[in-house]
Amino acid sequence: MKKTDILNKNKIEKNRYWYKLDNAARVFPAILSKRYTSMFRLAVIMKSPVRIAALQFALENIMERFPYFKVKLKKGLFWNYLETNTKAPEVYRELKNPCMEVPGKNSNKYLFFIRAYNNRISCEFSHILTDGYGALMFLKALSAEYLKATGVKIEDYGDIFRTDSLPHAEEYEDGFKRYFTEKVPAPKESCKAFHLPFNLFPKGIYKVITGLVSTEDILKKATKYKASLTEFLLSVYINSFQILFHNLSSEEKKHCKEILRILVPVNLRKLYETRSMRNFFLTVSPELDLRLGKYTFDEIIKKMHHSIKIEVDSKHINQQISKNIKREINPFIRIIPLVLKNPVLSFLFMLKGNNPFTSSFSNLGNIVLPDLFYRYIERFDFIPPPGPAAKVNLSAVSFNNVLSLSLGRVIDEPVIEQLFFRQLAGMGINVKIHANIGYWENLNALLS
Amino acid sequence: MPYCPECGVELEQFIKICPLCYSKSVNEKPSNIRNYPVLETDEEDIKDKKSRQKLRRLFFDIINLLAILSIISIILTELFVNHNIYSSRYAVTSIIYSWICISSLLAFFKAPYVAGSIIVPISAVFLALLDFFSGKMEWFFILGLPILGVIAFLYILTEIIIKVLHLRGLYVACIILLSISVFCCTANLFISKYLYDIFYIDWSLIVMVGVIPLIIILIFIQRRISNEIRMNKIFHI
Repeated sequence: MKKTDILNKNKIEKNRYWYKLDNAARVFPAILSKRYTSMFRLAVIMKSPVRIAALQFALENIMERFPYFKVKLKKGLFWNYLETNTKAPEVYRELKNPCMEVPGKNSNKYLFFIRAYNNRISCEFSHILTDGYGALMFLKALSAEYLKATGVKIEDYGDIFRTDSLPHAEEYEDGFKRYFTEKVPAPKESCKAFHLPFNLFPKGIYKVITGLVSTEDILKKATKYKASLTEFLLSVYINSFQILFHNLSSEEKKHCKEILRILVPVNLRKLYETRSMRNFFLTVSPELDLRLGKYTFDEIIKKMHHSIKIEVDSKHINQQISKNIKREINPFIRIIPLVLKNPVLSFLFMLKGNNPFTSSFSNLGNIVLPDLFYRYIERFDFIPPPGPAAKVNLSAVSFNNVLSLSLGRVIDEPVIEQLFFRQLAGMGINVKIHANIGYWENLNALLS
Repeated sequence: MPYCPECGVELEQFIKICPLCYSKSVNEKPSNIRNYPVLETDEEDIKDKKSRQKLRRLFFDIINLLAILSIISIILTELFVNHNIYSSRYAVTSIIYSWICISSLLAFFKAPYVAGSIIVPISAVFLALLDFFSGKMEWFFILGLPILGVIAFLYILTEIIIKVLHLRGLYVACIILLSISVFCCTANLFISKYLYDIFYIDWSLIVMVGVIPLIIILIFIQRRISNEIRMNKIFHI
């Protein structure tokens, strides 16, 4: 393809007025509610307090570089779609409970929110727009532009998108459609998994505990068990659910399923070549069947290690992509009006998206930035989206030898967080705990 | 820096309470951070299971013996006294029916629907036989079968409601009481139709009047209990 053709295509893409939702995003508008906001948060903690004016300036500057994020959600006749939003994005104040603002349909609201509080710049993104990778690239660009606005001279941008560069045509594409293989059978369905038997908070409350550990310490422990960092943390996490399950009363156990299944998103950009900035992830779901007996920690690590190795495979992933795309392009499904599709999508999500999973663990990996940035940035935090079925979720991100582990919950009991961090502390790993601003509400009796 | 003495984690400065377990923080790192307890192996579970299985088998053997001895003694008594075994048909049928019900419950105690799918048809056969033994089929189709059908339907409905709504504790008792009162109403209707040829409710109203306040009291007690129980009391972590 000639250089002029690429530039022309980019120009056309840049001037587009509307975009289709990518395959993974299609279900989210149907299930959006105060219980399931689809919002996740990526935050950068600077070494000095954030200047709001500089941040606002930086935000307005970078929006042209991310035209596919400069959109609002609209309702169509057959599907929802994204339309370019002409309103300027704003920096909002911090909320007591993160990820609780629902992106509106048919309003001028963006599908992401930038918030500032003390040293922290937070980006809350809806999964309608993008996944963790897309949000991270945006946050990196925003941080760079913010530092530039505060007078820092940046010469080396590394892989950060510059505001004076054009978005590549591939950034707009739906990676799922590009790698869809038609004649591939669908994967096996999973049965219902164990769900925490606790009552939900009233709507709008989300409690987050973030634990900071040394990445080096965790890696040493993981290497001792011959596992990767993800496999090790996943094992500790799933072991927390096992311990909780075996401590339930026999009456409570009667009402619970005995399979623990954790959803682990996998960034498909590592398996398939694309620059897509939309959702391009699928999930693997390692499980423990508690009907087979109590698992020791060594057994769990072995099982998680092998499950992930088997499932993170292009052929297995192809099956999932094929199943999802076939549903989207099916002509009978396409002609059903959206008003009838939404309740069906919502029901199917509950059946197949929620019921088969106990919880989720999302690891964004290690963030590497040019050297200059380490002088101004302390660490990153990554908070998972809230959900009424998987009442507790875990996410991880690492930067500059600080691994940030965030557990978000919509229930009162911090049992899983307790079990998770106690296991790490019991292994000799130093853990420092932070809680969100709204954490201590309704706990006045304890605080007095 | 503050630490949690129970969890062994470092807390934010000026935080007095651990957000994980709500214990008061201390200023020094606890020296004995216990290794997190490893789960006990399955040996104790297996021992418990085996002893429970033995007990069930023993109980089954006792039931079998009792049933056989009872049937033999009844038949022999009838033979010696009345010189025929025809008058023992009610007793023998009742013993066989009871034996089938108890055996199904023992064999399929983990699968109540399987036990139910044996007990319900056997109950229908038992009621039909009782009616047949009286000389002509008078009440089985008008009374026996409908009431049995209502019992089976209410049982399944109660199970479904308890499972779907994840009801626990006294809420389960409330649903069972409600089912009993509904059963009494339907039984009253069928009986009055059989006896007086009209659908009429009388004694079942008294049952309902007694049951409904009881349900309200149980709901009130359960709500009070739920609000007061804290997770740390249950887990002892």
